[in-house]
Amino acid sequence: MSELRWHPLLGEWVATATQRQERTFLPPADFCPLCPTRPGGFPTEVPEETYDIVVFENRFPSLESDPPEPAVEGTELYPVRPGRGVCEVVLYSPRHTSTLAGEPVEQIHKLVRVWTDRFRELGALPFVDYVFEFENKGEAIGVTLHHPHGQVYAYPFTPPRVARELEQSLAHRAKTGRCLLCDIVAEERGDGRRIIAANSSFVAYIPFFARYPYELHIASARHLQALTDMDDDEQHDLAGILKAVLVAFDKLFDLSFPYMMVLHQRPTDGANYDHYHFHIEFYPPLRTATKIKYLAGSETGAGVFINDTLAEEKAAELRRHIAPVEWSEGDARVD
Amino acid sequence: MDEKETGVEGGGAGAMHKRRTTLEDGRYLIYYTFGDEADSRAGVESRPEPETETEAAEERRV
Repeated sequence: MSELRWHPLLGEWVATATQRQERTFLPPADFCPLCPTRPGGFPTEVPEETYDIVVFENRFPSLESDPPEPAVEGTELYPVRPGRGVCEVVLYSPRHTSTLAGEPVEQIHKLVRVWTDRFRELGALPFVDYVFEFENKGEAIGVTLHHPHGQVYAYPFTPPRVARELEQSLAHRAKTGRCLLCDIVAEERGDGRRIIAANSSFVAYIPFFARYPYELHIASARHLQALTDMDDDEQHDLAGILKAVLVAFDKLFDLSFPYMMVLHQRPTDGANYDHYHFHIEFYPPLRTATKIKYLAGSETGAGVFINDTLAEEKAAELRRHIAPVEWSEGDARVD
Repeated sequence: MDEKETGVEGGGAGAMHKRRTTLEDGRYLIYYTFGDEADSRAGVESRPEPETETEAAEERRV
């Protein structure tokens, strides 16, 4: 059962998906449902013996393309609607013990191309207004499967966090005539202390306004709104900077670094979003190697993040672990 | 299980192929493969990264 219940205090939808209570929880590696199906082995989600990158509809979706009617009737105060949308799982690799950071940069490049295809295909569905591509990594985030994978949620509305960014971007453009994120990138480049890495097409930085100690943003140098706006070189460069940042994260505390990674792109509802600017945000929960930055009363109840660290100091720490990315011979380009 | 090739797209890492199948419970599953490397890369390891701060500091462009 998937349904959307209106939160009148916040003016936003809450997805109710009771079937997710039954989803697979941290199975042993021999019974990973995201591995290929081995000869004689138990049948996984992927019926073939190997794969490169696979996308499939989530068995336990928060939104469904053909959802049932809501279990309850709505009222004027409490509107309710079917949870219509699409939830996909994206398998990065057939290797169970890998991570996105551990994959060759060429594989990350392939993933960028798959993300682009999912954005294009799902965004074209008439009931989809926003395609949200993301990864939750690590038990600290609450993942239930360790196999390297991400997800795609195709929402029937623009989610509130993105809607707020759109409003801020529009207001900034009305006030200055410029793109908000272009100005943020210019400010970060001008200061320099929070820059982590850069190439011809992207820049990675811990923003001045970071809410998590190692919150990191990757913004395109060119003013564009979505993966589908990028040319081949830009998609190549996006893979390169992702690889560099992901490896640096793992080196920071010499562990597989947990994070939430989200792609912020324009809505797909057909309106004009020229004022928006593509970027990726990472929200890592760790504030030290062994301590988690919990979202407690102020963050959750008031919406005010308390960051116990200075972005300039955290950026210096992370920057020390940035190293050149090596592409295979056949795909080498000069960055 | 229904199966069909649903698209080919060019790009820097070779053509991207989509093979879309329908699982027994009605959900779709899409295999993405790329150029001649399709289905042959299991077990590939990423290169080790430089370990020293000096090496890392020499080049931050990625």
